[in-house]
Amino acid sequence: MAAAIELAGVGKRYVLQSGEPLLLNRLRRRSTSEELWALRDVDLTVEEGETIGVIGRNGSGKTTLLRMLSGVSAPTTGRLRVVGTIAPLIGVGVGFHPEMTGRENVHVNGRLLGLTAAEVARDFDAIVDFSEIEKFLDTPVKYYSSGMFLRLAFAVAIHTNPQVLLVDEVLAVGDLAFQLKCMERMREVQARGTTIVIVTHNLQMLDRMAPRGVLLRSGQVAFDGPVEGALSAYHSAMEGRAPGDDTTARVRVELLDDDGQPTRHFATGGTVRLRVHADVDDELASPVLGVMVAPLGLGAAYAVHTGIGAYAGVHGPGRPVEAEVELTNRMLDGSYSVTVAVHDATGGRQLGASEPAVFYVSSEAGGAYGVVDLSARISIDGRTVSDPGRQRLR
Amino acid sequence: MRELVADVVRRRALVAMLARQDFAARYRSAVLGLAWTVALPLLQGVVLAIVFTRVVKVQTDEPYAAFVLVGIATWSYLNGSISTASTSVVDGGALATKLYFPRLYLPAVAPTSNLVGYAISLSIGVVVALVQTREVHPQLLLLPVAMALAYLLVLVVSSLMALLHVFFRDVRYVVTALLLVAFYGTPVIYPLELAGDLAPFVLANPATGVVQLTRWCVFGQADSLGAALAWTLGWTVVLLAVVLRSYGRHERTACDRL
Repeated sequence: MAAAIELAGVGKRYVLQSGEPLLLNRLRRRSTSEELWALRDVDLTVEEGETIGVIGRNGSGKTTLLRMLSGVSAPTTGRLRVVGTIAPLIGVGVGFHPEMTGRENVHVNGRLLGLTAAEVARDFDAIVDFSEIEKFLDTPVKYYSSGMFLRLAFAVAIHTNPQVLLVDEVLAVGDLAFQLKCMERMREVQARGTTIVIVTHNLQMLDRMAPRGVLLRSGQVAFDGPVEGALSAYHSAMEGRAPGDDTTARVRVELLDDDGQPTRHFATGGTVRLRVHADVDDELASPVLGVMVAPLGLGAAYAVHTGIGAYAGVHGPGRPVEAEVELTNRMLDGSYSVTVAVHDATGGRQLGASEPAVFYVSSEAGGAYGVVDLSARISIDGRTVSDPGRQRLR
Repeated sequence: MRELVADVVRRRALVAMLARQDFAARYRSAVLGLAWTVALPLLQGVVLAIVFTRVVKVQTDEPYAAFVLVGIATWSYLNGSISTASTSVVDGGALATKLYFPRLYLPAVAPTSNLVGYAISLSIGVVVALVQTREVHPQLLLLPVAMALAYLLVLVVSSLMALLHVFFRDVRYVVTALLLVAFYGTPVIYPLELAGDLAPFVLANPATGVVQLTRWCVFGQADSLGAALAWTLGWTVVLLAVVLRSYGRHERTACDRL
């Protein structure tokens, strides 16, 4: 297989100017400039037909990377090569004109994205079909709801059949049904051998779509490998912890479903099962086990540890700590991580902690959103008018 | 640079399409639509015709109303297109930072979509000229050449200004100032022969060649046509070279400043 995208030592420097970019200031040498490397020494090869997910905090260089891949911006240093036609699903709806009808915008946007007039004409029905806005095709798009607008824009973009597809935070479009449809369509595109680069904060989607993950941190590649690894490293980074310093216990966590099979997807109302395995270097009596669950980027939502002296047992080299944990899943839609730590008998010293194990929770459509299901029961004038908790858990 | 030119040529249909969209969108929301683009220069022409025949008397070989209408139609096109297109790269930033296409297309949109209004205004000038002079000159067939020259001049000036505007945001005011001066430095409201001492400066103004060529097509004669045309063509060729060179070099860093 040939490489579809190749970056070697790519860096991008932005010059930040203080003061307005005015001719006058330049002439008087008034403006001082400051340099910022948005990306530095990035080496990345994406094979033809491969799908990769790029994650990282805001300002880590994701957007700059996409801009360079799409050809809008040139790298300051290094070499960048993209083979084949590129369609950016970046900022869907860019180039849509509010005064023009949906029909007219489909034509213009299709052409902007690199289709020929004949191709737009050929795919027109498929695009309209996909967008589900047939009735409003001859209405100026300024009268569209934001959902309709995005659906049409996405429909055009996803029908451009490029060799390289760049996707930036656009799959959070429309309702759940439409999102699923988009995902399905992405899979078709994937199956056709299109190279896909996805940038998103929707880790669950990433986990489902991209086998390979790249984590950017301050403009550099901090992780490149299997997506679970990237997600785990991302969780660690978001929680501000650097794993693996001076530990005498190495903790592994496996997430299991009710049948004991490994999984990372759980439904609200069910059980999240963990199998913990900790190898310890030194003799360890009556360890204390700590468990922490964190929604991505929010810090601990739940932390618990076993009581001091509640468990009496001696472990050491060759005699690992084996534990099972059951968590009642009251979490709502989103991505979470769970970390298990092993402490000494006093609970005062942490001997080692696992990498955050990433999992996703999906709730049934409708009802509550947020982090935790508090099963609200609301009655007005003594009559129960809403019972989302019971509906969900039924 | 060769790459840029090839790219621009290969995807030229895009300009026509963007221009059509720009045109349709601009006039769709205004009730009188296209009438406004024609009515405004026409009004300006009528006012000037009244002022310079009743208040100040300007001597022209041609009937003054026709003379000034033809001039104003041309000037309005140059002026309107250059002022819109000079900010086009910054204005189109939302698109330009997301999608790659030759950046030269952005400043080409307004001059292209304004061609329609230009053709109509100029036609009105021609009709008035025919009515007033009762003469038809064979050069009239060359009017499209004059329009093409105007189009080309507008394209190179706008493209250069649009790129400069990305780096220096005060360029838009510089453009406004230059256009203000250029209006009086172009024989729009007065004939070239009245320029006197200032004639060399007026001749060197690239807009003069376009206006004179247009007058020659309509009235069958124009002062210092050759010299004026030489200046215009010279400017156009030099600016074209500068534009191609600077877009080739800067178009992929320009968007970092949008």
